[in-house]
Amino acid sequence: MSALIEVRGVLRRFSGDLVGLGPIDLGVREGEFLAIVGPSGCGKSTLLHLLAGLDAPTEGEIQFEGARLAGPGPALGVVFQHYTCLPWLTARQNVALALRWRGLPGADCERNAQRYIDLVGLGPFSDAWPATLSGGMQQRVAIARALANQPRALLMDEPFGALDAQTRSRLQLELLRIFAEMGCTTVFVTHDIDEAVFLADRVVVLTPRPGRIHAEIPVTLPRPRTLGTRLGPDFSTLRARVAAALEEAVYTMSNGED
Amino acid sequence: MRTTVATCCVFLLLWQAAVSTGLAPAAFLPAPLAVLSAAGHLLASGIYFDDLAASMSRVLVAFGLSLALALPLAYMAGTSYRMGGVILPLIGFFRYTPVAAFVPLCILWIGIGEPEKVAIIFIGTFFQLVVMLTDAVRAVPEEYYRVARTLGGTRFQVLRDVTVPASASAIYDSLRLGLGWAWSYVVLAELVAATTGVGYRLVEAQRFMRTADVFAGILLVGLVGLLLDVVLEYIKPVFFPWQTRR
Repeated sequence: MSALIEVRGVLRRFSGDLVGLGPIDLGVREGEFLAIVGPSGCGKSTLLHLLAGLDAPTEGEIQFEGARLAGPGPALGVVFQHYTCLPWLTARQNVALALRWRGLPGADCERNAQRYIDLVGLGPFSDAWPATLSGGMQQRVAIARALANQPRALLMDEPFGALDAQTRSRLQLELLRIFAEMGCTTVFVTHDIDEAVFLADRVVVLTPRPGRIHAEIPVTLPRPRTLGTRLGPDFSTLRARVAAALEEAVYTMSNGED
Repeated sequence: MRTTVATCCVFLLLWQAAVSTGLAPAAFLPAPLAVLSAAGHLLASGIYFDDLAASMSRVLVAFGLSLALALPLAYMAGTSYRMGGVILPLIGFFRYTPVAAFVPLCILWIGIGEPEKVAIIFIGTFFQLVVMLTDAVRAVPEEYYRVARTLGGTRFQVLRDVTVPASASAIYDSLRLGLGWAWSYVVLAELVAATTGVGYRLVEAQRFMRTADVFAGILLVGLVGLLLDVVLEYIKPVFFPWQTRR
């Protein structure tokens, strides 16, 4: 089975010949939930931006649906770490914007947008200005906005990183529910091991800069996953494996540099 | 608030004292009450409202013109560094040249009629506006553009639905400032070869040595400017309902 997104020998060099990432080879399979974890500064966000087409690799290439990825677009939905709702649009207008851009008639835009606002559980707040919404709610809007385009893949860059623990946990459950409902291929960058294991089908562990793939760990936990999943022994074992891989990645790296 | 009132009271008392004790001759420094009554007369006579209307229409025409030209330039310079390189250097030179320096040239070129008054206000505001509006456009967060690109907007859609609304609030604030300048330049323009306007009223009072009227004229010009600014600030939420009020 060929991958939906295929990363081939991708390397990203920054100014001063500093290699920020790679070389990396990675396939994102259709319908899977892939989590990318790594120490801070390893280039996980860079990798996600490359996958989104917002940044171009210095070497190598990224194939999306069998063709070279040329740039960003609605087929690749992105949710950023920072709250990126456009403040002059209401929650629903934020979601409707891209639909309007695609030339959908006004009434269809509104109806569609409302459907996705409902999907992320923001129904009563669809006419609210972003400034009046909490961080968690703004991220829900961002998720609805990305999904409304019916993307082939959803790319999330530490979307819950700035949220408090309780909100974060709520949104993780919501995301699992949405993933189950939509079945949209998802790439999720995080530095939180628990989060990665809880959400993903597969966890990719990156080394410190320049980020390379150190390990790939399949997460065999059955779906649907609930809060109880986190209490089971399988979850603990997997979490320990990812943690060990991450530690190993950091350790090998620092030894290699000595 | 209390200190503001106190400061004003002390200032007025010192002023009154200087006049009462004969320290300053009344011909040069009229008493505060005399200024107030002169202002009252000016307003009551009705002439002053004609002056206000004349000055205000010059301001509106000139400022409207300046804005209409500055906006597109600012969007070009603000969204493309290459265009910024073309537009801004020339603007920068004129920006630092005092408006008063252009008055003789304006008279030489276009005479002493209405167009000359409008030209002076235009010169005084246009170059400043281009620079300030460009800054407002450049201040649109990069993140908005990143989001817009992932949502698949075309260049025009992004300009219309992201750049314009994202810069609108800062542009509004710049307009408030710019209108203040326009209001002070209209007075300058009317000092020379005018027959109406709040600036002309000042010159006329000076010619007849009516110092109280000069003071009253200055007071009224200041108050009108202040009023404009306060009103524009006050009604801003009408245009930007999405901004949280602090």
